[in-house]
Amino acid sequence: MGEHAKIRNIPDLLSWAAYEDIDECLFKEGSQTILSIVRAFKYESKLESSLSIYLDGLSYDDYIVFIKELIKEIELTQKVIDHFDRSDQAERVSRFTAFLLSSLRGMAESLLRLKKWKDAITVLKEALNLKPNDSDIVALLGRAYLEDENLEKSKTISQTDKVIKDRGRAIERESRPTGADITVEVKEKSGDEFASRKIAEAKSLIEQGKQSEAIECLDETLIFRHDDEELQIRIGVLYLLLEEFDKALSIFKRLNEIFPEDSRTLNYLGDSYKHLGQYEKAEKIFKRAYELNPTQNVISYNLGCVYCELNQFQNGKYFLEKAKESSPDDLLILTQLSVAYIKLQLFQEAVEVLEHLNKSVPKDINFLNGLGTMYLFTNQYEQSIRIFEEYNEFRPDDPRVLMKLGIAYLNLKQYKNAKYTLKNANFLEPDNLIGLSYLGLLYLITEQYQEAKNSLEKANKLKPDESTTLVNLAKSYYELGDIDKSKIIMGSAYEFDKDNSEIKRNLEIVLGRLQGELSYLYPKPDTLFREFSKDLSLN
Amino acid sequence: MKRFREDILEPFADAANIKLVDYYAKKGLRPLDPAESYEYDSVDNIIFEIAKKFRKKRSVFDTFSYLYQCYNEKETQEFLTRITPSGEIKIPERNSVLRYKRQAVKLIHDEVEKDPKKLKRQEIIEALKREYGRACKDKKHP
Repeated sequence: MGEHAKIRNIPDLLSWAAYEDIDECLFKEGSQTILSIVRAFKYESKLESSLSIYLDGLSYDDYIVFIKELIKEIELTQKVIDHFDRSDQAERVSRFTAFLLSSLRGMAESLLRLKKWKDAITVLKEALNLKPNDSDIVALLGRAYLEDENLEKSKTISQTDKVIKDRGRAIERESRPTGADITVEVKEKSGDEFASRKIAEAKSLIEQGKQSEAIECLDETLIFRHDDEELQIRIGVLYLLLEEFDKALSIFKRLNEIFPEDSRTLNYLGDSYKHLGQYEKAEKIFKRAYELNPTQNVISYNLGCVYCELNQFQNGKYFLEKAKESSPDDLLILTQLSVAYIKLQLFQEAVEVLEHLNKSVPKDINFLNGLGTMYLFTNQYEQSIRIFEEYNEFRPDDPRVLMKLGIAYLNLKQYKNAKYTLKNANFLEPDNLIGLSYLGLLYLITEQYQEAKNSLEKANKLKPDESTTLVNLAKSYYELGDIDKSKIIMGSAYEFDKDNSEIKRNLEIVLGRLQGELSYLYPKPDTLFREFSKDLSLN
Repeated sequence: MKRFREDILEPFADAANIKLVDYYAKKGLRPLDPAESYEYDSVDNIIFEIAKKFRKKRSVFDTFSYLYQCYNEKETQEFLTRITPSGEIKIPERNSVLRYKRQAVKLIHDEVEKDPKKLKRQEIIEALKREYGRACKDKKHP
């Protein structure tokens, strides 16, 4: 625009700034300024005409970069406008979007006339980012794809023109009917063939592990067959499989708008939200799907999973148990149900489910770990040892499992085995509170007071307010003859847990007010649960 | 924001012996909605030319544009709001807007004052006098 362009008002000034940016290839900045003008000032066709001139003057590469920036800026601006809830601004941005879309369409049509199919595809894809369901754009894109494909495969352009003609008004403008004898069935067949071929290709690519190529293949199919709902579901499911959750979400959202009461679409929509971590939205959708189809156990399962993610384990348990009623052997349902039981501290129920899972998938280390831990929590120490020994065959150096194994041995008074495993666990994970506490306890029981003191001192440093550690530490000092230190530490233990009669009794003994032997304490079950439930993802 | 324009024009209006309150009263009221077109005059046109010089100071330049179009500081905060790459909406602090505003006024004044021959300054003063005289003659805004 130049330094001497006549500036008569603020939009003029901002337009000048935007075009200066574009001249300097600062497309992002230019786009931001253009959108500022649209958002804050009266919408004037003057902006459209001056911008059109600028767009026409850009090279193809610069044009694409600038368009991408403009589209990105439109999306961001729309978000900001939504945030502040400004309908007047939204209207102006919407007018500008329509202008840009028409400009893109014009550009694509020119490129198609020049038989630059790939460039036209790029432009049309950008246009679809701006308005995903625009039938003219979709039809043009379908044509561009087919033309591009046909060039490679030496098919006749006239036939593909006819096929596409049936799919959109834009093609009606562009096509030159040369195959008047081609019937509607032939057109449909060609379109279906294209889509089916692409889907088969995508599936084969997935099997070959070529994920990104499969995604590209599906993208093309989707653009071409945007009006075929059944096909869209298949593509959406494949996107879910490929973990392209955003794409799956966009398909199922669109389908949900068309079929709001279809429980299958709702389930896939909820699944997309679930995988994107938007659990509140997923919950709402699954609930609606469940209302519509309460017997479909995949919906109950998904609803149960989402409740678990939302830490509503009681609700999660309810729906997972419902899902289990119709599919009692489904591994996914049982796994998730066991998680809900564990979180709700329903250990016996968890044991039953995990036994089932362990029987169905023997030697799965996650199930073995879960089951062994649940046996431990239900005081079934022999079973716990049996399971953990099995686990150890696969992972002999897992400190957490060695710890649990040691605890089980300790409870069975098999001190030699307990010492071996707990020492190993401590070697592998020296700063673990539970490991140190149990090792200290074991030394106390086996009257190795100096070793007990060392382990318990370390445990106490990790968690100074743990009353059971303090009691055991006080006992080790007491047994080593350091009564004063023992008094102080036992006093602290009492301060942290005044309601514990055992600690009160120990304190009285240390203070000389009561005769008797000091007792030792096992770490609290809550601490144990907190520590070990972290390991049980089971997935 | 009328006050913002007055901040910019004040030293020149003083030199022209014009009270800006009278100046704007004679020129009549502007549209209430800043998103509408304004009838800017030759004084504004000179200011716009000066503002071109600080285009690269984006926040200051944008703030100048919104405030000059009579948006208030709160609305300017909205227009300067950006979305971070992580999707977080980042509204600038009111103090930042005030800082940009002060900088914009200062940049314009500095630009005018840096000319040793004071031609720009004289140009603004003359334009103010001319516009004021014309507004006084205009019977629409007595």
